[in-house]
Amino acid sequence: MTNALGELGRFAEPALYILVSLSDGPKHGYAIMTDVEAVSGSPMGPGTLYGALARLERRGMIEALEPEERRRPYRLTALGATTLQAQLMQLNSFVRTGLGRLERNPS
Amino acid sequence: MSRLLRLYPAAWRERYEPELLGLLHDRPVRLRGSVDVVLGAIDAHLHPELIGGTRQPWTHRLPGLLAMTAGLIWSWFWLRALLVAPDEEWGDSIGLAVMLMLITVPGDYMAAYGRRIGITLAAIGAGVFLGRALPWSVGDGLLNFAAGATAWLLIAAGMLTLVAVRAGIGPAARWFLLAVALLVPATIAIPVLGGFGPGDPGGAPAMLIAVLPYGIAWTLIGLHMTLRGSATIHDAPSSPRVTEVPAT
Repeated sequence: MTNALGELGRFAEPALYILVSLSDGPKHGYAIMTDVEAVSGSPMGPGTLYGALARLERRGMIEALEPEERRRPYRLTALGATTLQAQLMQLNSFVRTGLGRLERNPS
Repeated sequence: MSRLLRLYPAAWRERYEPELLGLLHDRPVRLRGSVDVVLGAIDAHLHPELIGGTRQPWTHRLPGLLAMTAGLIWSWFWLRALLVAPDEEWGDSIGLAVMLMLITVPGDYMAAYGRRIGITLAAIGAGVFLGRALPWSVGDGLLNFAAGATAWLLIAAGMLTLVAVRAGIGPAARWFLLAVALLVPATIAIPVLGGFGPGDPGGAPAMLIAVLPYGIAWTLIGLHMTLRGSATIHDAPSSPRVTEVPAT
């Protein structure tokens, strides 16, 4: 995990899910929640969601757009996109390494 | 559910409450989600810098942690002593709880509040006097019991008032706390404990009614102080020790 997300502690994983969710366009809180649940298979609570959103916003990885009634959409910034890409590439390398070792030495 | 959002700091609510209310309206949460909201509120209090605030040094949370620990030790001890192991030695636990309660209120803050603190300390002193001196002089019986109960009430009320002042709790809320944590439980339990009402005199249920709300009150005040950071000498009203430093 890169330092940018790793320093978020227990919010690192929710933050990664949120960045992935916003990678195909702006979303508001409810849309992020449902998208994360569909992608990860487990629900993200409202407190966790907004704790992670606040941290990502403060670090400039996402930005809030003008609210639409009570819903405020968020979008990925350039820094957020770069961070997400680096994070996913690292995970991809990790996955390929693990799968390669399994193939060479199946138990 | 929206009431849970009141647990968040004001600055956080100003920024995120409307959209979170919208989210909770679109997708109501159950127990697990409610716990998540409460944990989120605790996190928001511990990290005010996320919404433009200043993170307080950990020392500002120390008095709250001490008060919370004192309340938990007090509650745990009485539950254990009255329900689980009534024959075990217990004096050290209560001594530790009372010591933590006392050092929750450091001297410089007490100085800033002058008269109010003085009156409270006088009440504690009167309680100690009643508790130690008077009962020995009046012998056994109703007067002795009444003096002892009054003494403990004065001491407990004085200490609870001190920590409530330290926590920045206003007068109305302080009286409410005193009523809920001490006066009402005492009114219910003391007649039973003194053998003046129905039930087993000195029975565990009556004693628990008398003492448990006090420990819970200390725990909650401690939690409140820990989350918001306890007030310091610099934000005590009319502090005699705060002086303006002229710009150079």
